[in-house]
Amino acid sequence: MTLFIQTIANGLLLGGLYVALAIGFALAFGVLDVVDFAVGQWVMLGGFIGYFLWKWTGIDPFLLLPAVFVLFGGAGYLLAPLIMRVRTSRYARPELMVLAFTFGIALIMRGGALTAWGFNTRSISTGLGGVTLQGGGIALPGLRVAAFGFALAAVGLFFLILYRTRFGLAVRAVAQNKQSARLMGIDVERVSALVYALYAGLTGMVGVLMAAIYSVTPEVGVRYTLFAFFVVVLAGMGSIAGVLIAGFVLGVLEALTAVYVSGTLTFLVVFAVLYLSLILFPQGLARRGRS
Amino acid sequence: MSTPLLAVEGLRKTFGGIVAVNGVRFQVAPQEIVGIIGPNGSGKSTLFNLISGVLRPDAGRIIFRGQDITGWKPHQIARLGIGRTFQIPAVFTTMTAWDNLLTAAVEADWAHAPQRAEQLLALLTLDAVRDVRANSLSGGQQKLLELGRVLMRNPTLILLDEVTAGVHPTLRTVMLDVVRELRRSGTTFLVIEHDMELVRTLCDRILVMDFGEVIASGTFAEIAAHPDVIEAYLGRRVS
Amino acid sequence: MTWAHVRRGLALAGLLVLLSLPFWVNAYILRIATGIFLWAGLACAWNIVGGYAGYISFGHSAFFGIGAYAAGILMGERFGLPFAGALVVGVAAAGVIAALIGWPTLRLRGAYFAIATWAFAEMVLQLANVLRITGGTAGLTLPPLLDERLFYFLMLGGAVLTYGLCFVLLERSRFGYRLKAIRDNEIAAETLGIDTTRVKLQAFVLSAAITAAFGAIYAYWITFINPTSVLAGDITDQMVVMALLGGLGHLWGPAIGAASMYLVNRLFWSLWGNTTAYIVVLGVVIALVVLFLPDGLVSLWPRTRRLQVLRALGPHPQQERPTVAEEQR
Repeated sequence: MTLFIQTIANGLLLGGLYVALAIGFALAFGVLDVVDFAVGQWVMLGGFIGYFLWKWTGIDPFLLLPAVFVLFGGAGYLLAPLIMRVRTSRYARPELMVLAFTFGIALIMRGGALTAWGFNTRSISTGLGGVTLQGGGIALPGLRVAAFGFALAAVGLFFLILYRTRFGLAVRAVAQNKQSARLMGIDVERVSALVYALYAGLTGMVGVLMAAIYSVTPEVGVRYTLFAFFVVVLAGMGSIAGVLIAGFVLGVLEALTAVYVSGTLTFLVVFAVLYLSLILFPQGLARRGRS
Repeated sequence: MSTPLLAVEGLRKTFGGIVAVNGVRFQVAPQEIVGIIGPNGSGKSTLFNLISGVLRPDAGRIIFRGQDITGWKPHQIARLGIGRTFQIPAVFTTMTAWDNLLTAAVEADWAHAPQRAEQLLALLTLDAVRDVRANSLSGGQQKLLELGRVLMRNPTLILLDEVTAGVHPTLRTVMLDVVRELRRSGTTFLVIEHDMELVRTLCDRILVMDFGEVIASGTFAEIAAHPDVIEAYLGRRVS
Repeated sequence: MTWAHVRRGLALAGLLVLLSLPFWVNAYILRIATGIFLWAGLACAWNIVGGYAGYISFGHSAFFGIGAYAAGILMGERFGLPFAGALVVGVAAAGVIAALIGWPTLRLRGAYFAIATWAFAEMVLQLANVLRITGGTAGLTLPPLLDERLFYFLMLGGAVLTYGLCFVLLERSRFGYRLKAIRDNEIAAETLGIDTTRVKLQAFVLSAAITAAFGAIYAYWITFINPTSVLAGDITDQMVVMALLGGLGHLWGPAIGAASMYLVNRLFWSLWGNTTAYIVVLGVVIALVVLFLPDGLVSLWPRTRRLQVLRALGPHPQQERPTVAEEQR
């Protein structure tokens, strides 16, 4: 029984990070109308950049998070206009073209990482690595608890910005109806670019933490992309609240499968559930997923 | 009405909290031209989507030529003889006007499709743009093309959704002549329109919709004098 | 001399060159040519669903792998089937699986369809990693056959059949019109009587079957397969880029894209011994095509240019000589 609770606890802790990952992704989708196929690669790059910054400066990765946020935010801000240009082009099927475009970006990131850094695994150690919190018969790794705390803070801040600031209001307006937002004087392009920047920054930070908790190789990007899809699909694209629940579902599912079924089958199970969710869950998908 | 071509009973459709179509009931006789008017959001296009099978009704029945087609798929309904145009032109964007017309006959008389397409191009004055990509055509030309596409299949019942909107007056006359001519040879029409003059001269009978319901039905003179219709369009008299 | 004559003559000459290739080039170039035909066929198959029907699939590597593993499993000691038999079974299996998963998946649109097919492909990859019959991560070995010429002709034949079939089905029959209608406006297509569900499924099954056929031949060719070599996402990546680069929804686009990208791939391999940098090139190509040439390389060759080439080959009474300005364009 304690194993079960321990597993659930681990899953929930990890779920927090998945929520942080998916929320940025869902917002980017809502505001820019773009399914970013490169989301997992942002995570991967976050892990690597975090690793190298840690290696060069010796600063604890948790303290490096703001720097990573700024770096990735800047990169996202620069990339956003290109994405939007494709999305709003007058050529046929802009939604598919932008899909292909982000897919291409993902390839560039993955290929670049492979070429620059090879196949080897990199791992970041933090001061919290050795800390374990004990209570009620279960042991919680301090690192994961801290990461969970970060995720909580990030998501909390996220909602604060979205619902309590003027900028957040503008973001929600753009997500609802770009045309109307523009008519109300909102600079849709700038808001979109900022949203994408926030998303990239947040996702980069998640990558750093993933590199600390697990490790990072250039190949992990695909996995995190699928995780982000999983959460957002299960939640129903556009449902920010649903992301909170679905993120934890993913974390728990992954933990339970790893412990009770088999470590090697974890991905199979997650991919299978993702596939089935897409097929079977019309609610939330009914508005945008069907022809 | 002896045997209506189309009979709609108790049709209802809700989207989330909004009732788009609320218990609509009417009949259309063969070779009638029935107009459907009403303020924006009154459920007219939803009604067309229900009849053509694009949407499934939550309740009610649709009977075409004595057959219950409620819940049928759009292509099954089309093959039965119902054609429609869309409020926002739904032309095949990467195809030329010519190919648009040909494609429309892919599930009909394919052997004679080229001849038919030639006739329609000429009839609808689209000859000059036969090789132009459909998404490069003007809005009015796209409306004409849509009409041509529908006509390729020789449907028995045609649903026209604001087919003259944004169309040049001369082309509009062309369209109306085509509609009248087709009615003479046996086609029935349901026409959503905003242009009252057009509705008055073209339609035998008019249905007025508001908030998803048919609030009045009759000739133009009858509905124009109907208090509910006046209220729907102009508001209640304050005195 | 008319354009039709010229075209037929060139085609015939080209075919003769291709048929005689094994007899006057070295093994290295022959292998490259074999690879080009493989990828040309794969890109064409993907294009049926991606370019003509407008459903971007990221799951085709699964069907390639199904064909490859069918060959690997059935030609092994346990079943000992000859290649032809394994090929047929592989194609049939892929067709059935495509029909089964296609039916629910094709109801999804755009990005959702892409994600779902991707999830499916990753599932198949994971399955191959864990099942015993597939040899797990270690893979399978097929009965070796060191006949480069045979495989060249198999791939060439496969490509010719594929393009021939696609030409007939997509450019000269109602099926092509139906597919393009679905791509351009699926709802309008439905209201014109087209059974979109059925047509999409047919396209998907056809595409999967062709992909699996090439997978089986590939497995036999390279003799050793494992999940990474025949089920990895890289395979789909290449198919997508090749079709996109050449021109989605055009019959010859995939061939041009395949030849171009495969040659680049071999270049990277021969110069730097690995192909991870090539992945970057794939991504850059997609990005550039989407930004600047969405209709692919095929669109660089519009009818006007073809006519100019024709004029250069011989005067045609009905055409005027092009002006100097036109010729320099």
